Parts: sequence; C-alpha cells; structure tokens
Amino acid sequence: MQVSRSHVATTLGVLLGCALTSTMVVRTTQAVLSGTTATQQNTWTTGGAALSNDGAVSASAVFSQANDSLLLGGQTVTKCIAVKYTGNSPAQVKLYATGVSGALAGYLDLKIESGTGTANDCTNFTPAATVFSGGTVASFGSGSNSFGNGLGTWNATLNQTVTYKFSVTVQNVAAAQNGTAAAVFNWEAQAS
Amino acid sequence: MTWPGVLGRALVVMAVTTVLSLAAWTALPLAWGWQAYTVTSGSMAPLVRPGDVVVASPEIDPDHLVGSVVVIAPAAAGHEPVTHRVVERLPDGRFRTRGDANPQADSRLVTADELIGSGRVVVPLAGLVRLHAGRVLPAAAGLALIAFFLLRRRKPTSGNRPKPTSGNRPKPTGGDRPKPAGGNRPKPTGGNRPKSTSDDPAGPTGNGNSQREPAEEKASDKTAARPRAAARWNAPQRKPRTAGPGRRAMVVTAVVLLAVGSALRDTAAAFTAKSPTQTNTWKSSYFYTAAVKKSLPVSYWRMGGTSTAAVADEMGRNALALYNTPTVGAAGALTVDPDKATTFKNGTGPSYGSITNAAYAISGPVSVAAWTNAKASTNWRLVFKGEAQTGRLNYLLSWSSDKGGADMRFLVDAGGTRYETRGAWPADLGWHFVVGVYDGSFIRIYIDGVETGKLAATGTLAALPATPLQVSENNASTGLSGSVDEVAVWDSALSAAQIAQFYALAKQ
Repeated sequence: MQVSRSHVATTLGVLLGCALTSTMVVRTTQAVLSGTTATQQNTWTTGGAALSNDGAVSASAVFSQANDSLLLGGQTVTKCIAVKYTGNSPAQVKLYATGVSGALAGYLDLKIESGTGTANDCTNFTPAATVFSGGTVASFGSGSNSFGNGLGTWNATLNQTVTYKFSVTVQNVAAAQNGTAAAVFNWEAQAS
Repeated sequence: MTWPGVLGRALVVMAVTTVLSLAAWTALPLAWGWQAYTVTSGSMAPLVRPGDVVVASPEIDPDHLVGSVVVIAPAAAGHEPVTHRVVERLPDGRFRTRGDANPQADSRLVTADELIGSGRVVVPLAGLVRLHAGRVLPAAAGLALIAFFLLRRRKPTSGNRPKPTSGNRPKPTGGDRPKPAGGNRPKPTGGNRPKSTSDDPAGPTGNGNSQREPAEEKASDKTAARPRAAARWNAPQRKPRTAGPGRRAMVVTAVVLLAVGSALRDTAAAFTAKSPTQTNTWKSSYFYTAAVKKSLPVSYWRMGGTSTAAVADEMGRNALALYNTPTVGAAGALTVDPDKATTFKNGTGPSYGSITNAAYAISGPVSVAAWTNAKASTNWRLVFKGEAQTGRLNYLLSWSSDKGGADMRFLVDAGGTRYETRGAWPADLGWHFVVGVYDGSFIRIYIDGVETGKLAATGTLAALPATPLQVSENNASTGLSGSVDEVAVWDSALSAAQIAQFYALAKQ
C-alpha cells in the first residue's frame, strides 16, 4: 500500500489537532476542577468590579450611640454615605442590609435616598431618587438582604460616585424604649 | 505534493481537527445528559475565561462540593446561571460560592436545589463564536455555508448532459483546451490524467472511472449541448473550484459549530464586589428620661438608686443627699422604665433629701417637677426651697393645709410678693406628676401634664442661695410619707407642650 504525502499530511494534521485540543481540555479541566479554592492573586483589581464607601472607613459616617447619643421617641437621625465604584466593567449596584438585629430595628423607620453630596451629616446632600421608604430597618433587612433582592437602579461606571442618605426615625411608642438595633448596609456591584 | 504543500495541508487539517475536536469535547457529553455552558464573563479568571465552555453534569454530591466549580440556577427569571466555585458549606446546608477572580464571596447563599450542574470539563475557547456572535450569527453562517455548498454541488449535475466515461469522453489536452488563467493548472482527466501534484484534496480517485469528476470536466461535457453555459463554465479567467473534501470539511465544521452553538447555554461568571459599612448601631433611651435630660434641667435626680445616702444627679452636677435612711427600691412612676423610687417617711426622724448649692438658687424663670404617690393630709412638702424659720421661699411644691391636702400648690416669692396657684390632687394612691412653672409673668401648676392653675406673677424670685433644696422636708409634720420619683429643677420655664410630652412618655 502506497502512502502518499497527502495522507501523511492529513494524518499528521488530525493527530496534532487532537493532541492539541486534548491537552488544552485536560490541562484546563485539571487546573479548574482540581479542588483548589479560589486563587488569591486574582485579577479583580484590573477588571471587574470594585466598590468603596465612607461608612467602611469612617466611624463617624455610621450610626452609633457615640455619634447620635441615646435616641428619643420621634427623633430622626441621618447619615450620608458616598459610594464610589472603581471597577473597570460597568456594573449594576444594589443596596441591601445584613446583620440586622435587635428589637429596636422594628421600630426604626427608615428612608433611603440616593443623590449627591459629600458630607456625612448630609448638610450638602441633594436627593435624586428614593431607594427605600415606608418601612423599618428590620423590614429593609428582611426584604433586601442580598444582591438578588437588593434595591437601587444604579448602573455604575468607572469612578462614579453616588451618595446615599439614610434617615432613621425612632417610633414614639413604648416598645421602642430602651432598645438596641444594629445593621450593616451593603452595596454590591455585579458586572457581567 | 511538495513538502511545503504537506506542511500546509497538515496545518489546515490540524486547524479543522482542532475546531472539530473542541466541538466534540463540548458536544459529546451532552449525549449522556450533561450540559454545556459558555462562560460570558471573567470572574473565574484566570482559569476559566470568557469564551470557554464549562461542561457540567446534573449529578450533585452536596457532601463533596467544597472546592468544586458549580453552575448555580439564576437568581431570578431572565438572569443567567452563574458558574462559581463552592468555598464553604454552611451549617444550615447552604453553600457559599465565589468567583475565583472576585475578592469576596457571593452574597447569595445557595441551597443544593439551586445547583444545576457540577463542573466536569472545561473546554477552552469552544464558546468564543457563541460568546461574540450570540446564537443568530453562527446559525446564519452555518446555513449560508450549507446553502453555498449545496448550490455549488447542484450545478454540475443539473441538466441532461451525457454521462462521461473514460472510453468515449473527449480528452481535453493542453493544446485544444483553454488554460485557466492565474496559474490555475489544467485539470487532469481520465486515464491519461497526470498524477496530481497539488494539494487539491479532490484529486482523481480512479483511472478514468472516477465517480466524482472534476467540475471542469463536467462543464466541458456540457459544452456541446449548452454552449452558453459551457462558455461560461470554461471561461479561461475563471478559477477552478476547489475539490470536495475541503468543502466537506468546511461544511462539517460549520454544521458542528452550528449544532454545538445551539446546544450551548450561557453562564455568567459575574464580577462581584461588595462594600459594607461598619456596623450601624442604634440605642434608644427610656424616652421620659431622655426627654427630661434633653430639656436641660439644672439637676435631675431619678431617685432610683440603691443608696440610702444619696441620689445621683443625671445632669452630673450635685447628688441629692438622703437623710434618716429613706427606703429605696420602691416601684417607680414610669410605665416602661424599671427605675425605682425612694420612699420617705414623716413623723419622728423624718427621712428626706437635701442639697445646698447656689445652682438651685434661681431668681429668674424656674420649673420644678416631681412624681409622687403620696396622699397628704396637710401641707406636706414635695419639693421645697425655703426657710421654715423665716417663712421665705424661693419655690415650693406643697399640698394644701386648708383642704387637708386636697390640693397641690406651687408657690414663689417674686418681687417680695408670695404667689400661689393650685390644683386638685387626684384622690387615688397612684403615681401623679406635678410641675410648677414661673415664667416671669405667671405661675402655673400642672398635674399629670395638664395645667390646673395659674396666676399672674412678676418680679425676681428670692433666690436664697444658702438655703437647701429639700425633697420632702426635715419636718415631722410637713415632711411627706410616700414615694417620690423623677425630681428635676430647671432654671427655665417649661412649656405646656413639654410637660404634656413628659407625661405622655412616662405613661407609654
């Protein structure tokens, strides 16, 4: 049987192609599925999403007894927190609460507005939209506790900043007396 | 075939084989029920990049998922599945996942039921066409290729040209057949066809008995019956078509890509970033106490301590000294606030509270407030800043003697004149709230938040700085018997609204 150069070329090409793809698939699959946990030296800082907020770095930017003293019935306290998106990929940003605790949370009326402003005491805040109203810190935490049910319509782009104003009013009822509550407000960006 | 030709052919075949085998890696597992997902974003980078295909099996073993790559069902309709790695199994059985390229874990905790696939194979690049062109373009391209191929194949076989045979077929020669332009070689024919030296994959397959004939031959055959077609087909400037196997490979490749592209599903490996605040904390007060303190009294003694010697000043100024060991720890006046009260007793060795300090020598507007459950029989003193010996006073809350303690009175000496206003004291033995106010124009008395008496009064009050302020009195007959709570003195005039608010807050 005479083996032509054409057959040799075809056979060689098929073998090389199969070898190449098999190597690619096997090596990649092994690397990905070998059971190692997520890499630490990842690429998220150069691509993807990144967020920061005043309330993460400044204790004066969040609600606390040190900042607001003991709260009275009917009293309203406010805080404004600027959130900056520094991811390269355009992302949708949602606001939600975690770690909501304390009986008082059910008696703290909450209103959240988005807008502009730089002062944590909201002295220069200009509202643009209402993110949440008509509920309490507790109901916000139960209804919006992850990106999936988070609130807001901010489609963030690189270096964009939105300021959120949180207004908390203590209901003037007996059950709201001498109570405590805690919550963490979270912004999460997801870029596809 | 020359060696460069061999190399070229090998490269072409390798490229086609690569595409086809990548498609096969993606498509074959679908045969036994696995699913293939095109990764559309880079949160699993660097190991999985957009355009790669993750082939996942629907069998999930919840006990061995940590560290595995899983496909998570969309959080909501219209969203894509997410392919991330399981980093933790929580005590409640849910899983915490994270994209390898994400700095933080996903906020969404997923149950085993929400996992729709466990990653088995990652096929690099296999989803690139799908990723960048969506579903429509590869489908259109595949159909176009198929149509192109079919149309080109149909032409030579159409018509009723005679079937060429090796024996009677006219044999074109280099002399009587126009040569194709542009370096196209003359096509070999029948039994005297030269051995192909080209890389044409559709070369002769037989010795003049080929079932597949070069198109030029067929076109040439048609020349006699259809001169125009033949002329067009044999136009010397026309480039001969490539032969079948190459096109077949193209078509097969296109069809495979089309099929695989249609079978793929997208999965987003979303970039995520979270930015939580520090923990916000709120602490509410006992509203009455906080409201009183916010109104800035000179001193505010809650009377609820455990000491029988002194009561702390909530305003941080001066403790109220207790004498003759009053009883502490009695139930207090406020509904919600569990703070206690202090119980005094008159008669021999009366117990009382006292503080001597210029801060309580008030010459201008003044307000005095206290809660008590005492039921007087004569002019018992509740809050008294005056001199029993001289009869002068700065301010005084006292029951009346003329009605056997039926009224509560507020008295001041202003501009050298004694002013008194009063209101009926409730007959029950419950806690009641009394406030006396002098604002420079009137003296008023409020009982349980309601003004029950007022009198026009002017002038500077007799301050009596050396005179003690007493709660009850160091007097066997005019000291009180009963409990006292929440005593406060202001060097300002409380408004009716403030007093009503205090009472309402106390009774919440």
